[in-house]
Amino acid sequence: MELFLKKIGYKSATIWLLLLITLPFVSCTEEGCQESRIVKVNTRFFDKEANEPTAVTLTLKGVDNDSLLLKAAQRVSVFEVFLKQDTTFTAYVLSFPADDVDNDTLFIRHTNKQKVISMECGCATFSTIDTVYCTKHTVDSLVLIHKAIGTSDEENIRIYL
Amino acid sequence: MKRISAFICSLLVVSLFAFSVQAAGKSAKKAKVQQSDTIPLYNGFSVGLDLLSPFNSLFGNGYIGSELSVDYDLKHRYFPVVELGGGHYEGEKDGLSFRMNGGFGRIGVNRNIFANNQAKFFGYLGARYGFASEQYDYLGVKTTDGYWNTTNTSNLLNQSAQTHWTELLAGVRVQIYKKVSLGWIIRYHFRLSQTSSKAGKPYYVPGYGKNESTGVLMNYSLYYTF
Repeated sequence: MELFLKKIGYKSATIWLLLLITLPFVSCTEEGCQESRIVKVNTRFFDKEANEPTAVTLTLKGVDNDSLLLKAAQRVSVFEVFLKQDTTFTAYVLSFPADDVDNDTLFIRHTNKQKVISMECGCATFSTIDTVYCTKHTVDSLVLIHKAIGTSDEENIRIYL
Repeated sequence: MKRISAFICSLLVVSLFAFSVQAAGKSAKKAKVQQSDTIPLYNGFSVGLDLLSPFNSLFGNGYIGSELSVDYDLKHRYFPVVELGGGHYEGEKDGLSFRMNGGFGRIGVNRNIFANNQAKFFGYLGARYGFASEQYDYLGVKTTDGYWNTTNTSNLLNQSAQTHWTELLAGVRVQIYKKVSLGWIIRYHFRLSQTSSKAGKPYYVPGYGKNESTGVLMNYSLYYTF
């Protein structure tokens, strides 16, 4: 053994030994969440005639929910709604207070699937829209652009006014 | 922070390589170098048993497993290696639990970087290709929506994943008694690809460790040479 240590050099052997003893206690992993868990339906208003984005004053609230998501918010061209996680049907009332027009109701049928983002970030319920329809008092029509509902800002529903 | 951690990891591995090369240089100058063409091509094989895997839980890691390796001594220089193992992991964070059972295999080669051909001690660099297959469950999956105040709780059972990766490694092995030796390996791995269930990626991969794009894993093994 001594001959061997002389051969490779005591200094090198010591460094090797120290490194190898120390390394198991060195953590090279990172804790913490870098991803969003907010799953939302991104909806955009479009002008039917001009076929371009438009903005309105909007009050937004869920059916059977007393909380307002938006209260007379001005110049809204894009808004986000959240789907119920324990059922497959969600509806929202859209009011246009500035224009003195009738309210419309947006109905969304969807399926839900839970997913683990990571141990650090936790879980989220992701949804897929099956059908979407809307009353047509003020709304002209709508188009389902992207069925998969996730954490991105990708447009899901386009509402033509 | 991630970059700093990655940098520290890289630095440690690079240091190991550097010291290996330094030691190799000194050894080459001092030792009587046996001509490589006088060394037989095949010089036996060694079977190794990882001593850390069964006792990981003592160090706060939820993984318990076993790992065997077989390497062939070619000219005391090149050591083609096959490593096989499997294990079980259980972990919990904020009420979310992960458990998995799986197996893995690695194939690659070690290159002895010392001129000492007596095989009483050698340091080496190596490379591996690794593959793992696992079945896993997430328990206590709970999601809450802030607007509707709805909550979903479930268990996501019987998920599966396959992971491919590559490794660079450095190791030392010391003869402790006749044909018995002990050795450390430090592995720096890079994930190549992974297929997993839509319910979420596995938290832990057997033979790889935490399921991150890169990472470090260690082995401390007992070898018997035939």
